[in-house]
Amino acid sequence: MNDDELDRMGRRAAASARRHAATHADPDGDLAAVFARADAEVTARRGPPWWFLAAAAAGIIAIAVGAIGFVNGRRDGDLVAGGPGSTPTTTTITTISPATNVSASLSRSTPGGATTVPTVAPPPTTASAPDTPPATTTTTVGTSATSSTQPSTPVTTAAPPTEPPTTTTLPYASSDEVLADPDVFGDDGRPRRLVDRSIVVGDDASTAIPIDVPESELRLIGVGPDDVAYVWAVDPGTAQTRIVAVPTSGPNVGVVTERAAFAEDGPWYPRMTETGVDTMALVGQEVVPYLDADGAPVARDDRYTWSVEHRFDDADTAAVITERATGATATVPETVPAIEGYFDGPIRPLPDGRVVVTVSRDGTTPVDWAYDPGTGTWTEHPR
Amino acid sequence: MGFARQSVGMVTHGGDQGFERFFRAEHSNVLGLAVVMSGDRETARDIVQEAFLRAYRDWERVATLDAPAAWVKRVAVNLSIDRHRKRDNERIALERLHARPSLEATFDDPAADSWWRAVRELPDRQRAVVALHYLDDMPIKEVAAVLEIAPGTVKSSLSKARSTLARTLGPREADR
Repeated sequence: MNDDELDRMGRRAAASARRHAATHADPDGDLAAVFARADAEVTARRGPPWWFLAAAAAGIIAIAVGAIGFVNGRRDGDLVAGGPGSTPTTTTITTISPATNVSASLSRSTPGGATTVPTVAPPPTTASAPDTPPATTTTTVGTSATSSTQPSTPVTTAAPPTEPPTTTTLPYASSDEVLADPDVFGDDGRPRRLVDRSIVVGDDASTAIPIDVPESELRLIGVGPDDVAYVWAVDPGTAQTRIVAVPTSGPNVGVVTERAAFAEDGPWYPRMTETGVDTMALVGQEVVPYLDADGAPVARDDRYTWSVEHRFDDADTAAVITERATGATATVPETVPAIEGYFDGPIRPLPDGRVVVTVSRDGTTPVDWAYDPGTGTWTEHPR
Repeated sequence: MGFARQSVGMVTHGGDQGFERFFRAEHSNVLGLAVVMSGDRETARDIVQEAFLRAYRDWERVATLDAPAAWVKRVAVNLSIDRHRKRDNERIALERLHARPSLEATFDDPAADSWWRAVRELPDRQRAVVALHYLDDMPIKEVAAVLEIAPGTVKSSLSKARSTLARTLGPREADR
């Protein structure tokens, strides 16, 4: 099955599923169920109803009265001594059975003969935001940290499925994963490959998009928003290096736009980041913004509010993060030996506002450090 | 049909009407997502109710989000994944007893049945990406926002999913 057939089948299946949902939807019933479940939770949170409490109180009083009678030796049915010379009489208290069976009154029979027993609503849970990250900790270092553990998250009886059991895995893609899995996929999910001097979509050679540049050495860096490919072009003779953008779909497909030019070749490490092509080098760094299908720069994603810079001196490299809006900085507690390929680029905060930086311990073991701006503490997350 | 809330204590601020409007606007979309993710109509309905219940519990906050629908869809996806795992365990147990559940939702197009059955065999993330991308015709960036993962991860997941689907659906469709 080729790509087009797959897409056609997917669209057909989606249309069928939408029809299915529209046909079988019962919004009134579901909305009523939502409200009923919400009310049941409130009822459970409030405790038993007044009539239940009244009945319980009456029961307690009755038991207390009985107990007093027992203590006084005046039990029901016993001979009760009258006054002097009086004839002994017997008083009997008759117990009246309830007219209906208790268990029957609590259950409902269904037409099929099966018996359903009303279920008790589960205890209320805290509002479950789906974006709460797992709280995992091994070590905490920071200006205000005094404990080696984070406060535990509130316990809920029905934890949202986004909160997995305690783990040291953070919910984000690390830079290592990004580098290991280059972003060469278009918005249609098909990979772009550089074949000779053309970009090919998927495995279909007929889609070859020639790259019209004079440089003899080309390398596909990745594919950004709107299926625009970014190509590293080098002229070995002059050491001139450029980054060019090439749309792989849309009206401007194949139109080459220069995004950056460098006077001399060097140990560049271009990589795709959230906001643009990050051109890492030993000295200097630049993030080349992406273009959209019309050739206009793509606006920065506001979620990426922090940037990271790896500063190195003769001995060590320290990672410093900076909040763009406020300029506030924090330094990762763990330094690593000076390395090539340090980078300065955007990092994405976790949904709870923490920010994660990965350092390479001993040059081999990636270690994630999470920074909590609220407390000014760093938390180590070994993998 | 409007619901006059006879609340026994739930905060009935002006948001009830807002929630109901939101519910009615998104109900069918979330139901479709839950059906294709879970493959079971009753399970899907339960997922829809649970997802909207969570939105209702926290409506004052959810209503202020840029995309409340994305929030509910994310909850529905996560619930579907959770139920899918549980159902897998149940299915294995039932198969051991030589019985198979017959809860699967069926569509009006046999090709859709094949497609969504194959989708449900994908790993969790790929399943979610395919469902959102195709069912809601959602662009990569929106899928990434709903699932709170990087756009690059969505694209690579979608690519891997497409490769798997092409491999598994090719022979099935050829058999038709």
